[in-house]
Amino acid sequence: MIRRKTLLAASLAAALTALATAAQALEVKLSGQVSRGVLHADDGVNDDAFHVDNDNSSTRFRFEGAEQLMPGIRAGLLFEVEYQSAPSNDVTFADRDGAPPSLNERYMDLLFEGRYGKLSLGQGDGAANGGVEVDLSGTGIAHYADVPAVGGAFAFRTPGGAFGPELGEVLSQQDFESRYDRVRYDTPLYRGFRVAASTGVKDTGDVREVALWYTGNYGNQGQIVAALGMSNEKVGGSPDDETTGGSVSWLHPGGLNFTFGHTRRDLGPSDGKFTYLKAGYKWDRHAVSADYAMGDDQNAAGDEANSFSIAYVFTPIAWAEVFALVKQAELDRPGASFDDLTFVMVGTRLKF
Amino acid sequence: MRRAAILVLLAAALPGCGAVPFDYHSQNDIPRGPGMFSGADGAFVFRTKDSDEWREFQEWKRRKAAEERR
Repeated sequence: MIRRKTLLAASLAAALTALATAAQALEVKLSGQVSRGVLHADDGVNDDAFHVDNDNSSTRFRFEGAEQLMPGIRAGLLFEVEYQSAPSNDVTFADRDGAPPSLNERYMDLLFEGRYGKLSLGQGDGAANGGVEVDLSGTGIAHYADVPAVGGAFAFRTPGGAFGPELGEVLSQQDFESRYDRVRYDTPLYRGFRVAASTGVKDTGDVREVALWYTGNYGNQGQIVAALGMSNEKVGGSPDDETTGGSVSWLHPGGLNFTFGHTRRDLGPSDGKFTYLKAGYKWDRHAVSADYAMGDDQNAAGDEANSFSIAYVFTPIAWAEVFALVKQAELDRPGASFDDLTFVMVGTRLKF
Repeated sequence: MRRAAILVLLAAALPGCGAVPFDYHSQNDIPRGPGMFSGADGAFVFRTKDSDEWREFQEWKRRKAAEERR
């Protein structure tokens, strides 16, 4: 793994040099954000407050640049890492600040774009990554399809105090294969549609993904963004890990918006399902929304998990958001009884 | 899954109504637009020395020096 990263870093450096030489005027941009919050968690047995990095959109920074490589071909790069202290999806009562902070890779990507589409090479989004998370609500900083982003490591507890599965194990959005080292191709846009395909390596598995993406602005009828994807991961000696699903989000010019997502993950004997519904309203610098998520059979056959949350986001100025979130999650498992998990979080994201 | 596919395809069937594609930006990525310190650009910009701005700056310095010599 280290050797592969070294090779990738060397490739990036070589490509940067090539870009700098070939381009008339290379321009690189540095941007980032700090995203923090205070989370109160209650599992029915314990309750406590945590100072967290909001995993809905973590603290991170990026370098990016693009230039004309040759007539008709534009080349670019994207380097992005996150640095989270006490991630909101990692803290627990036993470990109140999570794993020690470190720089975690998100993107180390080279891009080549022309009239025949875009080729991406390196660590970056798989073709379907984000395909169950499209969302036009304006409240994504507080809650979206990735339900375990807040409180995902907290375990459901029995009334007697015994530990059950964690929230993230029973209510994952199953968003395909996320980011990995891959080659990805995106077709040019045609009437709002594009097809993306990627293949690469994630941990020890070989991954292939394909997705259809769509955006359309219908003027007075609003905007729609939608995605439909499929992924397959093969790990030697294990059953194939296959995920199919998609999402669609509609925003009316008046501010009303609705989002729906669904995935199905087939991993040998288990067949986990996830469904997401969200309704919201945006006006001026404000956005509110309520969402409901259901996860079936993700951790054990017969599991039925769900969560309900409401959120408010205030954007006083373009580079700052302030939000509040209340979320409750429950798990029904045959032969077992668990208390609900309840979370209250307030936080802010500042772009620097 | 079938329901999701139907919904997405229904959404996709609408383009005949004359929709215009737009650039979707996930709310979970670093926001576009201005930054607290970076200002309107929204990013700190580094340019190579052969950039247009660099050449313009060098040209401006030469002109200014020439004017001062006169």
